[in-house]
Amino acid sequence: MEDVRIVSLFWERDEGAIEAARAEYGALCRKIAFDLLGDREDALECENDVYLAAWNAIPPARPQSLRAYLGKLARNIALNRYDRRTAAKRGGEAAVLLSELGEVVADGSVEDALEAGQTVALIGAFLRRESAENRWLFLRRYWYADSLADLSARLRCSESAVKTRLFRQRERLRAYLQKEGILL
Amino acid sequence: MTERDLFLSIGDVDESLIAWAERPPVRHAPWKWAAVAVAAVILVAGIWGVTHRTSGDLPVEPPDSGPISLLTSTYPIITPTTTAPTTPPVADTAPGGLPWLTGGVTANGGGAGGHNGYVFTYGLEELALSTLWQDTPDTMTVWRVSDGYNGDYEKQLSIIRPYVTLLGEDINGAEITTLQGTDSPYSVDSGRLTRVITPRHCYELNSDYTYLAIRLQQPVAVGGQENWLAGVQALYPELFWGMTDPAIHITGGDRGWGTTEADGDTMFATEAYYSARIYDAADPEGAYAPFLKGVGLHISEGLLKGFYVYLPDYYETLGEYPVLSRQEAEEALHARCAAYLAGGYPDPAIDETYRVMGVELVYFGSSNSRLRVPVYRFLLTAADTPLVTKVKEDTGMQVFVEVCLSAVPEAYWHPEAAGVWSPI
Repeated sequence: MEDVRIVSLFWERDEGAIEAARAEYGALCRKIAFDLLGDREDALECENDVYLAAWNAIPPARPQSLRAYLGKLARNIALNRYDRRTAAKRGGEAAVLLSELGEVVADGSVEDALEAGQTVALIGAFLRRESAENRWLFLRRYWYADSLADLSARLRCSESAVKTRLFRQRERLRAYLQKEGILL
Repeated sequence: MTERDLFLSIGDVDESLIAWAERPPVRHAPWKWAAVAVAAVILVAGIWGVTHRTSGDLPVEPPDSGPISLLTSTYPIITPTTTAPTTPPVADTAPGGLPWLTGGVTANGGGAGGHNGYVFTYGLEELALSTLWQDTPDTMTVWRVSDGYNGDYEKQLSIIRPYVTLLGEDINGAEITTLQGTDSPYSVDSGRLTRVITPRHCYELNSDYTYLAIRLQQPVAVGGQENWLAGVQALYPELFWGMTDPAIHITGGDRGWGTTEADGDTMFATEAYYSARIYDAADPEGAYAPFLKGVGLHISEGLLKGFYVYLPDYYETLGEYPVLSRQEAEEALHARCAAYLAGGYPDPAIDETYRVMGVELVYFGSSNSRLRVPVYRFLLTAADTPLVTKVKEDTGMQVFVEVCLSAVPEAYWHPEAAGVWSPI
C-alpha cells in the first residue's frame, strides 16, 4: 500500500494503518532493531513500540516518507532500549556503532553553539560531498545499522576493507565538523 | 556532543538520502574493473616474472578498494580514487531545453524507475487499473507543485474559508486549531497546518496545498461503486456546480494483510481500497490530470468519509515531454528485470519466471519530488518468498510486484536521478 494511503489511515484513526505499516515496513523496523540490539524478542517489542509511537504522532505529523519516519522511530526506540539494558545484557551492533561514532566526537564539541538541526544539515552536506559509494556505505552502516559482515557481502569485498573505508569516512566527517565549528 | 547525539543526528538526515540508500550499492563497471585488474596482473606478472622466475602462481590479493560488478549499465560509475574522474559534465538542461526531471517515480524516490511494493488482491478483476489513456500520446505534461505557504496562517484560512461557506457553514463559529509537529522525540516536524472544525466537517489543507481535505464528522452510506457518483452528487451538489459533465474515475482495489489476534500469526486479507475521483469529462485537462482538478472521494466500506478538493492553483507546468510507448516501456522493464536478476539477490521479489500481469499509465509524484510525472505502473508475478508464500496460503490472495517506470525517457532525467533504481 502506498505511504499516502497508510498515513491517511493513521489520520482517520483506522487501526488498519498499523497492519498496513507492518506489512510494508515491519521487516525494516525489525531489521534495524535486531541489528542494534542483537535480540529477536527485543526487536519485536521495539517494532510494536514503533507503531504505537507512530499512532501517537500521526496526526498531527504527516510524514512524506514512512520508510524514513518509521525507520527513524525504530533506531531511536532501539537505542532507548539499549540504554535501559544492563551492561551485561548489551549486545548487537549498538555498542560497536556508538563506539565508532564516539571516535568522531572524541575531543568534545562546542556545546549548544549550534542547533541540532544545523548538525543534521551539516551531516547531510557532508554526505552529499562524499562519493556515491561512500555515501551509500555510511548510510547503510550508521542509519540502517547494517553489520560489517552484511556490508562486505553486499560490496563483495573483505570486512577489513569495509572497516578501513568507514574509518576514513569518520575521519573526514570529524574534520568536516571541526571545520564547520561543531567540534573542537 | 556525544556519540549518542551524533547517532540521533544521523537519524534525522534528509529522507531522500535514506530512500536512496535502499538501492543496491553503486558498483564499478565489470569491464572497467576487469581492465584495471588485467593491467595490474600484467604489470605484477611482468615484475614478478623478472624478479621470481622460478616461483609458482602469482599471489592473489582481494580487491579491497571496491566492489567488482555492476548491476545495471545506468548506475553512476565511480572511478578508483587514484585515477582522474571520467564523468562527463552535466548539461544545464535536458534534451530540447526542457528542465531536468528529478526526484523519483516510486513512493520512496527511486529515480526514473523502481519497485513500489507488493499488491495483494483476490484477482486481477478486483483491481481497477486506470483506463484514461488507452492510446499513449506522443507527449504528456509534467507538472510541478508550486511553493506552498506552509506556516502562513492567514493564507491557509483564505483557502479554506470559501469551502466552509460553500457547504453552508459559518467559519466564525468554527473551532480553528493550528497543528505543529508533535513534541514527541520520535516525531518529525510536519510544519504547521490549520484545521477548521465545524459541526458537520473538518477542513484541512495538505502540507503542500495541492488539495483540501474535508472530512465528514458523520460518515454517510453511499452504497456500491455504481451509486457513488449519483449518491455523492445528491449529498453534496455544491461541490460539483462548476462541472458540465461530471464523471467518476475509480482506481485501486488492492488489499493489505493483517494477523489475527487469536494467534498473532495467521494472516487475513484487509478490505480492498479504491480511490475515486469525480471530474468534468467536458474538460480535457481535468480528465487527464487526476490530481489537478475535480474532487477525490474517500469511501470505505460503503461509507462516504470525506473529500479531497484538488487545488489547481498550486501546480505549474514544467513542460511537455515525450513519452515511451507501452511496448517501449515494457522492453525497458524487461531489461531492468534482467539486470536485477543477474545481480543475484538472496531474497528476490521476482524470479526468472516472472510475467507482466497488468499495466496502467498514471501520474505519480514521489515523496522527495515536487513533480507529477507520467509513469507506467506494471504488475509482475511475485517470487515465492516466505512472506508471499504465507500470504497466499493464509488468505488465498494473489500477490503482485508493483514496478514503476517513468514514461518520460531516462534521457530527460537528471543523471543523478536517472541511474537510480529502487531495489525490486
